[in-house]
Amino acid sequence: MKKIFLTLIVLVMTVLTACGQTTYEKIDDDENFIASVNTLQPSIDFFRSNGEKIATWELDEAYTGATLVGDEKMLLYGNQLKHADLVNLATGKVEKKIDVEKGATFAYYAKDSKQFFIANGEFNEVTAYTSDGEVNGKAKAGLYPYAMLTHDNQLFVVNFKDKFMSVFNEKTLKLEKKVPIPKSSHGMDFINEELWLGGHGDGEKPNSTVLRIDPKTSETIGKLDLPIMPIAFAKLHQSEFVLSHGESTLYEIQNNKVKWQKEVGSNPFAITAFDGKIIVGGYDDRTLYWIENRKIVKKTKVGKGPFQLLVRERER
Amino acid sequence: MRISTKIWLFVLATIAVTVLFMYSMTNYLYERLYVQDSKNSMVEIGGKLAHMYEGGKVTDKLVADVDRYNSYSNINVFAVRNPRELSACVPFDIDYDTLIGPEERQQLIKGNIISKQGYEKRFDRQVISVVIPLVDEKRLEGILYLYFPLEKITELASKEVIFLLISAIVFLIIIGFIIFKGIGFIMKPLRELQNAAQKMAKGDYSTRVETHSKDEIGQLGATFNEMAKSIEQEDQQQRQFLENVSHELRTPISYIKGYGEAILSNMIKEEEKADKIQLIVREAGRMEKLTNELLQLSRTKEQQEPIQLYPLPLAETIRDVVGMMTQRAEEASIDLAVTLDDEVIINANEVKMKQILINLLENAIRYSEKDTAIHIHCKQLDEKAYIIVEDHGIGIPKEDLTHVTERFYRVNKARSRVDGGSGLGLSIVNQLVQAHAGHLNIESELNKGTVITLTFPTIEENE
Repeated sequence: MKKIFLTLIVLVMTVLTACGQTTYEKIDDDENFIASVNTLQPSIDFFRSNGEKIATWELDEAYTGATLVGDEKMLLYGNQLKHADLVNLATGKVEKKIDVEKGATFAYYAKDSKQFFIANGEFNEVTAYTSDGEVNGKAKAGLYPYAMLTHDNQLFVVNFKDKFMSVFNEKTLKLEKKVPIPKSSHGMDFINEELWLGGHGDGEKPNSTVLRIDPKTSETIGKLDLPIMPIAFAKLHQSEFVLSHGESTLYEIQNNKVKWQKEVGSNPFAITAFDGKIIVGGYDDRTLYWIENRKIVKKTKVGKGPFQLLVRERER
Repeated sequence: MRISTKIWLFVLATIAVTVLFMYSMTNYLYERLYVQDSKNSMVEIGGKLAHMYEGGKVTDKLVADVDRYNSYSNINVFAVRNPRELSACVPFDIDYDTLIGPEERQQLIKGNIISKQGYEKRFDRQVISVVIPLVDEKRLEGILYLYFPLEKITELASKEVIFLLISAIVFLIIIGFIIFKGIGFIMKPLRELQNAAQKMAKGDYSTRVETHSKDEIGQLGATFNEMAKSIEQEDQQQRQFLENVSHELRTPISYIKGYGEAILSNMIKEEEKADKIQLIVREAGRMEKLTNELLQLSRTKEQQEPIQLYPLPLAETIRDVVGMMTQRAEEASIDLAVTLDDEVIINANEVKMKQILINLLENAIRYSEKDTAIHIHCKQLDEKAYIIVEDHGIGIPKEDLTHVTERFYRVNKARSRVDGGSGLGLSIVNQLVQAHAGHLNIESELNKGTVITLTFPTIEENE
């Protein structure tokens, strides 16, 4: 009986220590990469700029998103998880498990203030953390805070199920103002001091436009017709690229005008610029499309449901 | 509970069960055939309509074409290209009931057709639906959604539940009434039989039932009538018998009583007394004989003591009896002629055989005309022994022939004591002959005479 008990303890300890020591494949410090965060069957694929695969991390927990924290770390979070994990890329080890409330929707790292924010859709709040994972502050947002972006010492938080956007002071998390927006808005970027905001559209009718908002006056100064469901932005050279997942269409915008458009991928949610290319991730066809000079130059298979694209480009 | 009620309840319950069974069977067939058939035809139509899709975006023309088809078809079909309806935003938490779910979306992207059945919130009803994907390069550009309102029989019933319930009840009431009447009709002869049996039990043996049919109940009725007839006859015979017995006994008793009293009161002269006492003794003997005969007859076969049978030379026995009867025959001026085969031997009891012969001869003498002869033959033929007593007397009417062996049956209904018989003689003869495994046959012609033939099995010589 004693023996069995001892064996059991040893076994439990082994399992526990194994859990604590989750290690992922190392990513060399000097390696630039694009990482595809796949959420349908949680995994992350790392690629070099030439499309070569560096590594695949199979995630054994229900992570629903990830963000790079500086160049050395990656934060993994999950909507149903009560912890977010800071992983050191060079060692592949979980450096810190941060206790969070259930309901994380999105995490965003602000380079200038070197802190990251986690939005919580159940408690409708935003929490700021230092890049080491220490809580820096907390603020109440609208219903279901999701997309976040910092600009000019301000943190813009899109409340997905609310009719306004919360604008906080980036350092103090003091609410500075509320900007009226449509429900189910998602995706934003700053272009020439204008805040461009995309979205899915509320209810049955899908949204087809990107709103141009003056952040100072909170007023909508214009619209871009980019059907259907423009929700992701990327900058490359002089162009702004907008991705509409409803019709799987990529738009290239210059001077508020559509210069080029192309059907790319199947139901793509993620877009980013990497090494002079625009890369789009098709959620339904689990493919990365590498676009250079308005041409698809490469297609790369990734895990099920690529939802985010993270890029590390270190200056040498 | 009466049997008709039981049958009625049973049939009614059977019908109710049948109705229920038919209901569930209909449901089952509806599900199996109708639903499956609808599904198949929708898949077929959807597949054909999907051929209009040529890849790329789902065009307005395609949507309009499908709409046009829809307006002519009895199946509802529409094309959907709204990514919102197709669960395209699934990773996001959208507060919207999409037409197809994330799982279904995955199936559709693979090009699989989805068919489902159940409540659809969108249409607020039970539907059978088939979803045909319009896929181009792994892009779910749209779907063709075909559905057919599934009016479940239960749903129909819930609409018309009162009507259905009432018609079911009315149906059962009518059927119940018809069955009730039908059973009543079928059971009527049985009830009549029951009544008749009750009357019988109360002693009314003249009761008969009318039989109309030849079925089991009709046969039962006929059998009952036969039984009632037998009982009635038996009852009548019993009464007759008792009447006869008392009548037969009364005469000698009144003789004995009358002469006895006369002697006691010295009303009879001394020299006549011996004569009268002789008469009393004669009547007492008559009574004794009668009661002995009655005793013998009243015993059923089972109650009778077994008769000891042994090889008996018939001729000798007949001669003895003829010797005993000669004097009486002479008194009546009747000649006894005997023709005997001395070699006839049968298994018999001498005393009983003599009783048989005495009875027969007494009868023959009693009913013969004066100056005639009674012929007694004994012979053997084909392993059978025959005793034939032939007289030339008054004979027996044809209608009485079959009854003469019945107890107290007398051809002379007046029952006068002139001919002196008790009416038991032939009954006893018949009984004794049967006890000897023999057979009694009577042939007679009125005013010419009677021939009585007894047949017995003989003993084989080698036995």
